[in-house]
Amino acid sequence: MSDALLPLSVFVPLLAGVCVFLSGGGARSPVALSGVLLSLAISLLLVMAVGSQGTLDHALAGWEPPLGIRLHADGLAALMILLTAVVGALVSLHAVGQFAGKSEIANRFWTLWLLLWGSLNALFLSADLFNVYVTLELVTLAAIPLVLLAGSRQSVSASLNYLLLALFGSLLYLGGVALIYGMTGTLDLQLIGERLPAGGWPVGVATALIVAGLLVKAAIVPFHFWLPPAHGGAPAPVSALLSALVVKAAVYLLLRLWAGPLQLPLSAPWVAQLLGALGAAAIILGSIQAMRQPRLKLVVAYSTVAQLGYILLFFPLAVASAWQGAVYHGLAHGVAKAALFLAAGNMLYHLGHDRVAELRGMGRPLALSLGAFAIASVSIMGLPPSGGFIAKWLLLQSALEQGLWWIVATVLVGGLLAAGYVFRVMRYAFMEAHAGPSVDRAPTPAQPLMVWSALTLAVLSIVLGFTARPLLTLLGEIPLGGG
Amino acid sequence: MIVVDTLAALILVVLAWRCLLLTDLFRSIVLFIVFGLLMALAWARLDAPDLALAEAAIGAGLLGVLLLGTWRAMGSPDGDHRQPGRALQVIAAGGGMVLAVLVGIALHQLPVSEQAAGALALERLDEAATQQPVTAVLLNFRSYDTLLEMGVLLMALLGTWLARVPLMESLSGDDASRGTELLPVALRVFVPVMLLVGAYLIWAGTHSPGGAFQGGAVLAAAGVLLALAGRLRGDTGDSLPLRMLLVLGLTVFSLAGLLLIPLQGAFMAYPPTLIYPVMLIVEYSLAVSIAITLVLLYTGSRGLRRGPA
Amino acid sequence: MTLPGVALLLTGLLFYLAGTVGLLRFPDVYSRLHAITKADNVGLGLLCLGIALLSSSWGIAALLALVWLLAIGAATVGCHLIARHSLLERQRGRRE
Repeated sequence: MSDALLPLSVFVPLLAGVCVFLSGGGARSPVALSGVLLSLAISLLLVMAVGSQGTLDHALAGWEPPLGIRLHADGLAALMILLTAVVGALVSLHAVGQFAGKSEIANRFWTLWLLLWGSLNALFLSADLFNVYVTLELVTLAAIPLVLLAGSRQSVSASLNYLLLALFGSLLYLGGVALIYGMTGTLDLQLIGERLPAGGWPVGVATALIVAGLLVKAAIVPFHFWLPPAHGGAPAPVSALLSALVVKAAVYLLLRLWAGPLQLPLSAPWVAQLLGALGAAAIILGSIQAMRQPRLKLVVAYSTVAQLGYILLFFPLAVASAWQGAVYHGLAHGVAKAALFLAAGNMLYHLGHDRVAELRGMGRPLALSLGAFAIASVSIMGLPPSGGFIAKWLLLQSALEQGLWWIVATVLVGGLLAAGYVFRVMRYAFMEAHAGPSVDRAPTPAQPLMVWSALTLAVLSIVLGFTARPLLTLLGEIPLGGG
Repeated sequence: MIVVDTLAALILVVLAWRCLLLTDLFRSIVLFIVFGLLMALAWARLDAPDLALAEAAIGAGLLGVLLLGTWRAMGSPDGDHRQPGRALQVIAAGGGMVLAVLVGIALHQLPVSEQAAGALALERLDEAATQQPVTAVLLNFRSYDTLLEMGVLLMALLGTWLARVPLMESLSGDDASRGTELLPVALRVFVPVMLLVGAYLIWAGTHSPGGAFQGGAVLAAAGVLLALAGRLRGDTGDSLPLRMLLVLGLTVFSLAGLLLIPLQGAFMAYPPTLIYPVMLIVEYSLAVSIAITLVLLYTGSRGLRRGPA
Repeated sequence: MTLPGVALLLTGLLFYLAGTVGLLRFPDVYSRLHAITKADNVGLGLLCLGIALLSSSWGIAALLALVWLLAIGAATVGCHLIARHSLLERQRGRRE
C-alpha cells in the first residue's frame, strides 16, 4: 500500500489548500498551519518509503500505461519532494510573520501556496508526457497569482509578462508532445523511450519544441528577462518559493527527459554542447547583471538566472558524477536562495526599501538577517563547507576528467562573479553609519519567526555540505530508460 | 467537399492574420469570435463534435464575452493600445513562419505509430462503463488530468481576483437594458431553457457528445445573460456557500478518488458497480464549479448578489 | 421530397445573401438591423424547413422548429437592445 503515498502526497497539500480557501483564515490560520504540517509529513513519509524500498509506481485509476497515467517516485523525484517540503515548511514560518495582520492577503497566500505545493509534487511524480504539461500549467498558474500578492501595478505587468511567456512555453511543449504521441502512440515516459525512432526530422523537431518550451519556463538565457521583475517584485516568501522551487521544476523536467524518453536526441553532441553553452551564458550574463542592480531583491533574482545555468552544464558532461553535481546544485541553490530572499525580504520589511547603496549601518538592527544573508552567500559562491561547494566540486571533477576546459573555466569564473555581487552588498551593509540605515518610513522590525526561518535555511545550506553521502545515496544511479 | 474544406482553412488563416494586425481592438475581438465559430465548424468537419461544442461554447462564446467585457471596462478603448515595434512584428511573424514550416515538414514525414493508446481505449470502452470515448478518457482512463485541470481553473479565478485589486475599475451597466419591457420576458423564456440544455448536456456526456465542460459553459452563459440584464450583480465579498460551490468539483472528484483507494487499490479506480453513479455525480459537481467560475470571471467579482428585477 | 427541400435551401441562402449585402451596404444601424434580422429570420426558417424535408423525420422537424423559434427570439431581443442602445447614445450626444 505504500504506493498510495504517491497520490496522497499530491492531494494532501491540494485539499489543504481548498480547506484554507473555504475557511478564509488569515496568517495564523490553524487550518493552514495544520495543512502545512500534514503536507510536510506526507512528503517525508514518501521520501522515507523511496529510501527504504527504492522506486515506487502507482497506476492511476487502475489503468496501466499506455491507457492510463502512471505516477513514479525514484531518487531524483524524492530529493525534489524533500527540497520542496523543507524549503516550503520554513518559508511558511516566515509567511506567518510577513503576512501577520493582513488576513485577506494571507488567506490567498496559504491557498495558492498549498495548491502550488501539491502541483509541484504532482510534477515531480508524473511519468506521463501530457500529464507533465498539465502539472506545468498548474505550477505556472499557482505561481503567477502569488506574484500578484504584492498588490502593485508593477506586479500586474510583471505577472502578465510572466503569464504570456509561460503560455508561449507551454504551447511549444504541447506541440512537441503531440508529435511524440503521433510517433509512439503513447504518452508514458518509459514506453516513449522504448518506441521513439532513433532519429529523423520529426524526432528532432519534437525535441526542439519540448526543450525550447522548458527553457522558457526555466528562465534560461535568452528567455530570462521575465524572471527578475516577477521574482524581485513579489513578497519575500513568494520570491523564495518561486526562485527555489518553481523555476527548478522546469529544469528538473529537462533532466528527467534526458534520463528517460529523450535521451538519444538530447545526447547528440551539438545539442548537449548547445545546452551547456546556454548554461554558461546564463552564469556569466546573470552574474554580471546581478552586480549592476540597484535593488537587493533584483540582485538575488539575477543570481537565480545565473545559478540555474550550472544545472545545464550537466548535458555536455553526461556522466554519473555530473548528474550528482547537477541535482545537488538544485538542492543547494534551492535552500540558499530561499534564505537569501527571506533575509533580503526582512531588510525590505524593516527599512521600507532595499536600495543596495543605502544599506549602510544596517548591521546593527538587522544583524541576524544580515548573518543569514552572509551564510547563504557562502553556498551561492560555492565555498567550502557548503552544499554549493559539493555541487560545484562534482561538476568540476567530471569536467576535469573529460578535459572540458571551458566548463572548468565557467564554473571558476562563475564563482568569482558570485563573490563579486555578494561582496558588493556586504560592503555597503557592514559599513557603520552614525545615524543608522536610511529608511523610507518608521522602521518596523521583522518578527522573530521571519528572522529565524531565514537563519535556519542559511544554516541548512551549510549543513548540505556534510550530508552529501546520504542524499546522493538516495538519488542513486542515473535512472536510464525512464525507470 | 475538398473545396469547402480548403476554403474554410484559408478563411481561418486570413481571420487569424487580420485579428492580429488590426489596430482597432473592438474589430479584433469580433474577428476572434468569428474565428472561434469557424474553428468549431472545422472540428465538426473533423468528426470531433465534443471539441466543436467546447470551442463554440467556450472559445467563441464565453471568451468573446470576456474580451468584450474587458474592452468595455478599459474605457478609452484605443488610448492605451500600443502596437509593438516594426522589428518585433517582423521577428514574431518570421519566427512563426519558420516554426510552421518546421512542424509542417515534421508532420509530413511523421512515422505514425501502429499501436496508439487511442485505439486501445476504443477497444476497451466497455470496461470504462461508457460508450462515449471522450468521456471515457476524461473521466476514467485519464481522469487525473481532468481533476488537475479543475485546480487550474480555481487558480485562474484567484489570479483574477488578485489582479483586480490593483486594477480597480467599475463595470458600469449598459442603460440599453434598463427600462425595457422586452428583456424580462426574454429572460423568463431563455434562462430556464438554457439551464435545461446545460443540465441535459452534462447528463448526455455519459453516452454522447457533451459533458461537464460544455454543459457548464451553457449554465455559465445563462449566468452571463442574467448579469448583462442586471439581474445578477457582482459583489465585493465572497460568501462561504459560493466558495463551496467553486471547489465542489475539485473536492468531490478527489475525495471520490481517495476514499475508494481501499476498494480497488488505486487512486481514482472505482468498483464496476459504482462507476456510472460516481461518474454522474462527478460530472454534475464539475459542471457547477465550472459554471460559477466562468460567471465570476465575467463579473470579475468575488461574489454574486441579486440585482433589482 | 429532395427537390422541394433543395429549392427551399437555395431560397434560404438567397435571403442570407441579401441580408449580408444589406448589412454591408446600408448607411446606419437601424437599416442594417432591418436588413439582417428580416433576412436571417426568414432565411433560417427556410433552411430549417428545407433540412426537415430532406431528413423526412418528424422528430428532426420538431427539433429544427425549436431551433428556429429560439433563434428568432434571440434575434428579436438582440435587435431591440442594439437599436435602443444606439438611440440612447444619440440622445445623449444631442444633450451634451
